[in-house]
Amino acid sequence: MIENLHFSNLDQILPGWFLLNLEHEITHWSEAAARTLGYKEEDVLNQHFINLLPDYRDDRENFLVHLQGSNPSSSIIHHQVKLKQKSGVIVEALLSLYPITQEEKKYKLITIEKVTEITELLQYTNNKKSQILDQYNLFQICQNDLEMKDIFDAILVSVTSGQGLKFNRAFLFLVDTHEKKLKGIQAIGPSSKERAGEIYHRLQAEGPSTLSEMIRLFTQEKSSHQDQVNDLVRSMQINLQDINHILIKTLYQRKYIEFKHEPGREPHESYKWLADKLNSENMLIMPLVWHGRSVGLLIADNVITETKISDQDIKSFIDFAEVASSVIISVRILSRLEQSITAGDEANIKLKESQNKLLEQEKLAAKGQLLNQMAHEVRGPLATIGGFASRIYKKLEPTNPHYKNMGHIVETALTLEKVLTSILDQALGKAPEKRNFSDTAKVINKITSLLGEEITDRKISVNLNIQGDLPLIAVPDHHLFEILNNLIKNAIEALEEEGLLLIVAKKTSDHISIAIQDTGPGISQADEDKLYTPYFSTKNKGTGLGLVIVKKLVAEYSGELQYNTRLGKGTTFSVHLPIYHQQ
Amino acid sequence: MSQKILVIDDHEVMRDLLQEELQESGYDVVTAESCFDGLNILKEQEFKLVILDIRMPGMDGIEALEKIINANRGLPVIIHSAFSHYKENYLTWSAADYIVKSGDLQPLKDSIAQHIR
Repeated sequence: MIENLHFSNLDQILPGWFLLNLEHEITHWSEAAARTLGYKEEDVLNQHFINLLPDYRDDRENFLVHLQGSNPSSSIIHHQVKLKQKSGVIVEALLSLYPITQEEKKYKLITIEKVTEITELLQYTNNKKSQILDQYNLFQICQNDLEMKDIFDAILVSVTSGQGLKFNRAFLFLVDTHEKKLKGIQAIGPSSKERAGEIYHRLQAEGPSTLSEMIRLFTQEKSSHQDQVNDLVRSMQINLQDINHILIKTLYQRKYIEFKHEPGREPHESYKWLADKLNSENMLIMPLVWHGRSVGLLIADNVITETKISDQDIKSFIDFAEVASSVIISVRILSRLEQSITAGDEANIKLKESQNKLLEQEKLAAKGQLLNQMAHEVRGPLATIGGFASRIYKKLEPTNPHYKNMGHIVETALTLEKVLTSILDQALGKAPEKRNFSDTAKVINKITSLLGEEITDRKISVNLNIQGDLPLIAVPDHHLFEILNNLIKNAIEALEEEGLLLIVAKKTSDHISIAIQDTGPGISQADEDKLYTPYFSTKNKGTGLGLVIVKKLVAEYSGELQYNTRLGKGTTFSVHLPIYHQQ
Repeated sequence: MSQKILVIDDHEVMRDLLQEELQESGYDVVTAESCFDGLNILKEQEFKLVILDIRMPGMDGIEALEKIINANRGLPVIIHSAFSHYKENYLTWSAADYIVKSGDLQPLKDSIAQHIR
């Protein structure tokens, strides 16, 4: 059992340790861990390890899996983590993991060292940063990243030039959180040892004295080598889920790897893949980390000169990687900003345009109103001139010397009326040609959906029975709406709560017949006499014009309106309207 | 006895024109220069038809239309306006007819003959 282990010694040398089972549940909690993190044994025992991690980490679930890879026997030494104390304070610590077997059971021993408290403010800002990163998709490669080519070139030249880090080649990979991939983006140097060309050597050996001059020269002298090496790196894309892949592993561990390919002894097939792809057996894989998250990777090697990578090289490269990550993210922030400013400008322009349009329409409407008013002022008196003139004209004998002149006045007054009408038509802008047909089902559906609230509130059941594929009806939309809306509204208003409304539409020879039936109280004999009388209403708020309108419109389109009512049973109104025939 | 028609119009010349023309056609014509006057006259006398303008100061013809019809069930009202677009306004649809003012009085006279009770 655990007690038999000499773990108690650990309490004296470590600020904390605990055991996990293979499901990563805490099975043993040390006193030291209790002191350091504040949780008592009963707080954490059988709890999942992730409960010790800060809530804002988005990779909590798979934290250990990513760290350890799929190989449960691998150890982790001194991985920097943030842990959550019971008080909620976040601490930073070095975490190590050792797989152990005790009485044929497998455990993971976790030790924590160098625990330092992060202040609340720092924790808060880190949390906020993390949110902002997600909110603005800063870990997502976007179209604008292609325009960042110059920035990437500058980074890669810095890694390779004699004035910079002096590596022979450099490859840039970026994380795309959207596609969940690590993507090869850009590279510098020959695609292989054999292809190391003259220009490259010249640049390496007798290059200009300053880095910026070097970057300028490089961009001028891009050779076919660059196309090849760029094609090569862009062909490399790895799924972020592939956690055993050497590149993805480096990404998650956020710690550089000195890659050495030793054929025959490959921990993972990706080692051989990488060595083959880049045609290199020694390289430095450097994660680009920004605020605790990996943006991408830089890979550098000395494939041509075969110079050994020194500790000083690594140290400089680590420092440079930090700068490179913040440059990449800063440029992304700027380009996102630029994007949103441009979008804002476009929106402003559109707003201005529509404002102008509105203003124009308002002007037109005002103009129309004015003209309408004028027309009225003119048409009235003009009608009286014409009217009186025509009265005199009719009384004159054709032999009268004024007969002809009077005729001219009558005719001119009538012509002026016509001129007035045409001026008005033009000024008001001829009403757009309204379609003189409509779709019965559409109009009925529109009405029932407009009355939906009332129907629901009063628990009315609506039964729509519309024959499929009804032909078009020879009444314009707005008038069919007026007819049916009045009849349906009347029916609903006649209904008691939980009543039934039945609407049936079908084709009958050359007409469409629409019946609206309610289970209301029916119409009394006295009310029936006044049914089509204007301003007569049994309702409190009715205008008393509903059925007047319906009757007038139905007649206008040569239709028929009928009703059938039974006291206590309900009323049915039926409209028959002609089918539309295309001219 | 000839049939009595009430003309409500705020334009004096129009009232005169209609009075002369309609009287000549055999109708007995009474005129009113406002809706208020018209409604008062309707209370005292019986008419067979009303000719009503819309745009008038004070009460307009649309408001008067409802009052006239409510007080005199079955009395036909012909709207006689210089505006044509009120024809689309369903509040005028309770009128028996809608005639746009014109120097040609024949359409108005035809409508009167058709609707007079």
